[in-house]
Amino acid sequence: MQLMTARVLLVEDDARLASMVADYLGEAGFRLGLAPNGAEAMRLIAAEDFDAVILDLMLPDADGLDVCRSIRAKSDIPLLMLTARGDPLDRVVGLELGADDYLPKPFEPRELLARLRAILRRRHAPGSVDVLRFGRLEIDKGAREVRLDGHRKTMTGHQFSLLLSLAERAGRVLSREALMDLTRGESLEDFDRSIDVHISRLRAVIEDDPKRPRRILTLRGAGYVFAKEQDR
Amino acid sequence: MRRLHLKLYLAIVGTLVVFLIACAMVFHHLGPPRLALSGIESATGLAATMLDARRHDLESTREILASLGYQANSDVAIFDAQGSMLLNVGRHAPTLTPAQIADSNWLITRDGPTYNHRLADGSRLIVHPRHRILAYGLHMGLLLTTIAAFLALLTYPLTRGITARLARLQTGVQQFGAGNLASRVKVEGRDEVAALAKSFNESAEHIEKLVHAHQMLLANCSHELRTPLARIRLGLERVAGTDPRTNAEIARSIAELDALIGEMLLSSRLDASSGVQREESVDLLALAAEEAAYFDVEASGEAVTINADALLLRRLVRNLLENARIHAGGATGVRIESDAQHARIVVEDAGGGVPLIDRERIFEPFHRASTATSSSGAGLGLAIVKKIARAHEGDVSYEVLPGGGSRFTVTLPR
Repeated sequence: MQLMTARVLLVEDDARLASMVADYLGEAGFRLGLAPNGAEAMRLIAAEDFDAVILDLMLPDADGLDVCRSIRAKSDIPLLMLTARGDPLDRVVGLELGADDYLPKPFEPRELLARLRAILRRRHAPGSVDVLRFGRLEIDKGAREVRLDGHRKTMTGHQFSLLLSLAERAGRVLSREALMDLTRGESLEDFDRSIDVHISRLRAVIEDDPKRPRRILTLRGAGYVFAKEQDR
Repeated sequence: MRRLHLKLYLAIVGTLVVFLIACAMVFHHLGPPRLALSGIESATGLAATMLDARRHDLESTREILASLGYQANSDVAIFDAQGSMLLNVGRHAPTLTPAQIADSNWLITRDGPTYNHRLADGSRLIVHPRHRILAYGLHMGLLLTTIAAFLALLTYPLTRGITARLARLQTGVQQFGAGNLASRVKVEGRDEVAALAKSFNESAEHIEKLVHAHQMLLANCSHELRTPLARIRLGLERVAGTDPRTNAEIARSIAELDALIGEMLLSSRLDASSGVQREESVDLLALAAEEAAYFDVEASGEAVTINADALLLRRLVRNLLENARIHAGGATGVRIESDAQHARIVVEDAGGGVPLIDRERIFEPFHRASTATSSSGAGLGLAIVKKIARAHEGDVSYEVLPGGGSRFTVTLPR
């Protein structure tokens, strides 16, 4: 199936915003279906064949989280949640209920497009269960590959192990010694070099600007931190 | 805290003790029970009349004495006027002093009360009840004490029961106060405690509705304000051919407005809730490093892990760094320190510092520095920092560094 001609159902109660999003996504090649409320959304999903759903969390007739739950009970269609709620908890709940991604209003139109494409692509990619996501960065444990904006990045097996060790402990300070211990079991190569060299190689691959890293941060005298919140 | 049930219980036990004392006093005042005494008196009187008539016959005398002893359940004896015992029936007769012999009434001897009746010939008929009338008082006292002790035992669970409901009520109210607005107390019984529980539940219901309405209003506000913002943002994207600088400015204004809406909502939410979820264990140094990286600031210090709301702490660090960026050209560093009880997040800058007159008020919402020349930065940033710190049972303080510049220190419990 062509991504560009995907059919997307937009569930949004604000008709003006809905039509603007429809126009925008229409120009990007998507075909849009519109539902102003939860009931209409459920009817359309049952009646027609959609490739993805964009769901507003705040609907006139139902809580978007309930609609999300109902959709998930029936289908595994890719689902992107739009929300204006300031509560960060909604995001967690939404993702737990099976939303594939989440975008707060007011969103960057291009970000909406990028995330929509991303959730459509993920559905077509096999083995997407074991994927760690940090903003635009995806670390696929199953396939042992790293993608940035959906593009595969090449790195050695050892670099991948190091990145995975970091990413699985995102938000924690890891000393050089701890990192050495974590990766030693994976591979014995290259340990004459310092861990810093490996880190700088990783940065060259995954950072937008390796000189000003945002994903792998250095803490002088303490070690490294893999950022928990990236590309915000 | 002195427990209510103990107080109640002590009051009951006290009442019982006072009752016992009162009983003892009444008993003492009235003397031995008249009924038992008068029975002995009349039986003795009757026997005395018979004796007076047949005193010459020793056999009859013995019979009369035996009969009296049986009827009055007593040891009976006849003493002469000088105090020598002439005859006795039963186990033994009390030893009497001459003064006691001379008397003719109830005597208190070493063996207990004894009835002394003067016969016609001047000798004395002495009746000593075997059931020891004085011990009767002792028995009575013992019985009453036993009943009182039994009552005391019985009333303990009773007072416990009454106050246990109060204790449960208190637990419920405490839970509610701690932020569990759905918590209600069980209405038990039909008394004042039950009425109190009922009115608490009604109040709690009302408060929960109000808070819920407030939260709904906040959520709706957020939705209502951000939907048009999303439209503007989308519209801006589709306006082709205009000046890119204007576009960028509009986009930035939208972002600022959005951030302000978010801060206002966060601020009211922090006001509305009594505490925050602190289940997550947060590596402060890692968190500070992550936030600092976005401002190109270096983080340093000790690796400290505390239980906190990670999203709120992120916001706190970001707001401090943002504040330094706006007012002091950027922070010079973020440092994490700790001691046994506290962790500290220290953000320093090399700006001009806050003038003395403004220092008291920098943590107030929408406070504008007296020297402010631009409109930017006046907002909720530092007020939110303070609210987040307070929500974690910590605080934030400000000081001017010796060489100029500012230091914000957030202290959080470990």
